[in-house]
Amino acid sequence: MGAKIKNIEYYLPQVIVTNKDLEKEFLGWDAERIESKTGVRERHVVKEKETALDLALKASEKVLEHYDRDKIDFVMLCTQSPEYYLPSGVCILQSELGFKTSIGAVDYNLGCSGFIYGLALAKGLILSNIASNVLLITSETYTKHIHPKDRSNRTIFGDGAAATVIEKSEIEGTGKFVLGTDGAGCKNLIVPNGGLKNRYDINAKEIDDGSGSIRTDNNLYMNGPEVFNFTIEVVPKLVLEVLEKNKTRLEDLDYVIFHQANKYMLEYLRRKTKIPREKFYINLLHTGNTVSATIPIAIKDCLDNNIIKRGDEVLIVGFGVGYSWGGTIITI
Amino acid sequence: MTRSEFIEKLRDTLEIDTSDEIAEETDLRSLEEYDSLGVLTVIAMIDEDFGKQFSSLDLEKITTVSSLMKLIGEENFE
Repeated sequence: MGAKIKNIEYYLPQVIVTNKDLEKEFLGWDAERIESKTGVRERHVVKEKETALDLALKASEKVLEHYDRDKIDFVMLCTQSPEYYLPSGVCILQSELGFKTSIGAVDYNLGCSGFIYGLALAKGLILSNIASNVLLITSETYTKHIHPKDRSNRTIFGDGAAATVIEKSEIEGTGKFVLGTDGAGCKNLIVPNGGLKNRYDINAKEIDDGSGSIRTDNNLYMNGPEVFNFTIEVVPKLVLEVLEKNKTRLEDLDYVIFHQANKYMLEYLRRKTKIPREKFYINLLHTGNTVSATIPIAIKDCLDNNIIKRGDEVLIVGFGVGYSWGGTIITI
Repeated sequence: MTRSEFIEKLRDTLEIDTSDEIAEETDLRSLEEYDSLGVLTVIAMIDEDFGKQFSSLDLEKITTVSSLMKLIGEENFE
């Protein structure tokens, strides 16, 4: 008995910002260079009044077109762009989507590792008979945290949401997990103001990072070099640990999907972990880095394009903000 | 590797045009290729070729090519 991903759908907001758009806004920023280094050509961004919950609702409606919503008995919403401090966004989702009131529901706050953690929690709920059919929504709108003049972060990140149905199944579709957490990295990917530690500062000073990007403490800050260092150190070890724990070798896997952070980093990590190019997914061309939605979007994309098929063994690995990381092997 | 090999590797890594001068005295910060994306490529190069990683504080102190070589460690170059 186990937990298996049944269905995935995703939703990207309608407004698109292309590299050409960024080139016009930022002098010296070259559209081709952006694409070749980051792997991003365009990213979807929410409108002023559009929130992560709106995206979550749209992604959920899509997946529920082919799934009876009365079967869902637990819903999880992963986001770092909450609707309110309280109540949980997932409660609003319950009533908007017309789920039974007898469901369990919870929001949780994670970024790039969010899907892996959601899957781990869903598996736990299912195997302990707390739930049978879990809806896991990973929805993010980092663009709302990014300063308009932050060239680097506006290039990398995009908004989007994915809704994944995970069901109890006779055969185990989710392998053993390896998870990790290191708060030493907390200041390297952070929105300093706006929470309860440091309130939103209407007079926040502009900070120039010296390489073309402006932000204030009300905005997302990402220390690229430190985050890159973190991934170089943690991810290769994580891959080995997941393989070992699942008693599998790289050669036995059908495919590998890492959190889609940026093409350059992914290529480097691929070489370092010796994963063959043909087994490794890199695609953020039309989405940018959608944080907790990248992995489910990738899985859906691979299925739709026959890159993977039902029955394939796929290593999935998420890593980033927190620092937080995790990985497992799923049987599609 | 030799010092000049390192400079050529750096040129390759940062995708600096062959027509552009790059020597030990070149201030990296003046190169448009040494932006936030360029820094990542240098981090990867140092990890791959020297097995070293540096904190962003150390990387921020880099000025010229020779300051980068000093950070990596003079003993690594012939």
